[in-house]
Amino acid sequence: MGQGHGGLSEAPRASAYLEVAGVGKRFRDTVVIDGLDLAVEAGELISLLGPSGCGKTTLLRIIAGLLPADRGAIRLDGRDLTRLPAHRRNVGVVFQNYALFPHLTVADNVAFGLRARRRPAAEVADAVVRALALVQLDEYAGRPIGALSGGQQQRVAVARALAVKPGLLLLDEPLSALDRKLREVMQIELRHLLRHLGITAVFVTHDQDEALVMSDRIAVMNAGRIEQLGGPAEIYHRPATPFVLDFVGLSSRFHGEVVGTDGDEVVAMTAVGALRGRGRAPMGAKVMVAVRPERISVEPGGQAAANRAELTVRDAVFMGSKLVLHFDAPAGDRAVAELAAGAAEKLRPGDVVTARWSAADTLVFPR
Amino acid sequence: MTGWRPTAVSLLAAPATVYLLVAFAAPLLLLLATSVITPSGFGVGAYVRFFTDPFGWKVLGNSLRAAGLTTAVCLLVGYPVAAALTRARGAVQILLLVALILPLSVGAVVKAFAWTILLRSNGVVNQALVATGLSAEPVRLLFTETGLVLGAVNIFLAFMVLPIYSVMRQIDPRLLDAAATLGSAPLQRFLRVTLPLTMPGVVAGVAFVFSMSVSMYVIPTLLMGDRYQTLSTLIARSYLFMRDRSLGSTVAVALLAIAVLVVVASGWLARGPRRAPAS
Repeated sequence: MGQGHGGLSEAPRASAYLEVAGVGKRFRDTVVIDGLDLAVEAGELISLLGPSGCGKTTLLRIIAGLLPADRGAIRLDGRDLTRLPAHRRNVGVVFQNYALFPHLTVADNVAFGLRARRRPAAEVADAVVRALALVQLDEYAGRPIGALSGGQQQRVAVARALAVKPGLLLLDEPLSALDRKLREVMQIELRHLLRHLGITAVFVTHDQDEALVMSDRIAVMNAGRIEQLGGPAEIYHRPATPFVLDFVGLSSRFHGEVVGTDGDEVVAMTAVGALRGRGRAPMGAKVMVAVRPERISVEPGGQAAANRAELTVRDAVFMGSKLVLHFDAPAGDRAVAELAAGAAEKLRPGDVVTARWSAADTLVFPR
Repeated sequence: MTGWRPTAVSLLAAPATVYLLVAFAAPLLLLLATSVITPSGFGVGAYVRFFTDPFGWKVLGNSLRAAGLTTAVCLLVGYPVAAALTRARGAVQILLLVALILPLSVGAVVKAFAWTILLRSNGVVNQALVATGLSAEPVRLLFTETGLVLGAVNIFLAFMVLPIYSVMRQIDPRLLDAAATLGSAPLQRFLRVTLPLTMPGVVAGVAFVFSMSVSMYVIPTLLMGDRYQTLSTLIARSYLFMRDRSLGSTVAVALLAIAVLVVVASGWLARGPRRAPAS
């Protein structure tokens, strides 16, 4: 656990496939990237997840060579890219708006990179057919770009970037322009395709679901730094900082003061009573106690748990597969629980329930 | 039967239509009629006369060459200006635009006359050439084709820059980023992305400048004098000095034909090989 250390970015290892070492970038007086390190293994899918303005797209552009870094180095497969212009990096990019060439057909868009590399015509034609087959657009080779739907354009953008067999694929919010339903389908398709090709890819996204679905590891970014780098489950269950807790998923949180310590656990007095959770903090320290909503049980007469609180239902929201309960909470605190649908559908606003959850599921962050 | 009922489109277009019919279409028809009226009725005698006369070809050649050179120089000078205008931001961009558009408010007569002062053998240009040692003695510029093109470019440049700029600023800069990440070097990016995407602007600019410079009258009159004739100056001479309405109207129709050709060709070039851009 890295609670309270303000960040958990791994130091780059010499063996990493992509290494971002000490990269910094400022626009005028604003620090956009703040001495950032990132190491990505070959074949890994990594997400840069963060709110807009956290520097994730800037970092992507620096890796692609579209923006010079003020300091630091970018290495790919042992090759120092830092001073190379974009067109000599062999790093593919799928842009947010796809940036397809409107004056070219689908096939000519896909062929663009191969022609730039002056490959023989037969090889280009062959590669275009294979790239379009990968994204199931074989039928559309001769179409003008404007005649395609958003989802099809997105796939052309992927095929175009993959056709040149890039050493690294960067995707800038690749699915954000699609509607929700299509986006969910494309997430799975894209993830399957990239794994199948064994390509190393870095995604930029502000959508936590997309990051959770698409990536082996997620780098949660805030204010030009990586707050936490880890697998989707680790990010969700063991957020290193309150920012990560807040940005990824829902959570209940109660502010309080440490009244007891017990090895790896502390007990804090909060507005809903004494709560026990994992973490270290000295007696009297101000802390925030948090728990994920699906870890809370409201079964009457449920089994004993370390933490229990009497909570008043403010809203019960039916979400199809689950029921989300929002409880009354003092200002600054929040109490929310997620139950399997059907379990507590009879609950109404104003009902008082006993919420229970374990100490192991409870996170304690110093304030 | 459904009678014709005025629609918003027809009502909005009506004043301009009436004006054009009275002020443009009717005189044009008169002009066409005059060119085919001969002393012995109707005929194409005037056209035959003009196109069998070497002088006729010489004048036509003068006009086309001056217009071609002017258009070419405007394109070579104007394209980079359009690119600069596209990249410039804030005050610099405003300054460039003002520098381009403000001179349009100065009439061609004034500009052409100014050029006669600049270009004469003891003018500023020649003084500069001699002073910097680029030339031992004053170069003859006034009454030469070089001087004519120099003056014409000055007057028509904005009509090349503005259409190219208006198309170029619409180009998504990420297209060039995309081309770069696909392995395209800067020159290749220009040739394969920027240039094809700005072609509609280039075609429009070429059509503007060519059709205006092929029919220019004031500039050749002031910068070249009477010994050099273009289609426009010949039309004027036919009517004003030679009192030859037949020749004048014939040349005018020839000039009109060139203009129509340019418009049709540019319309086809701008549309034909292109497809609808992405939404």
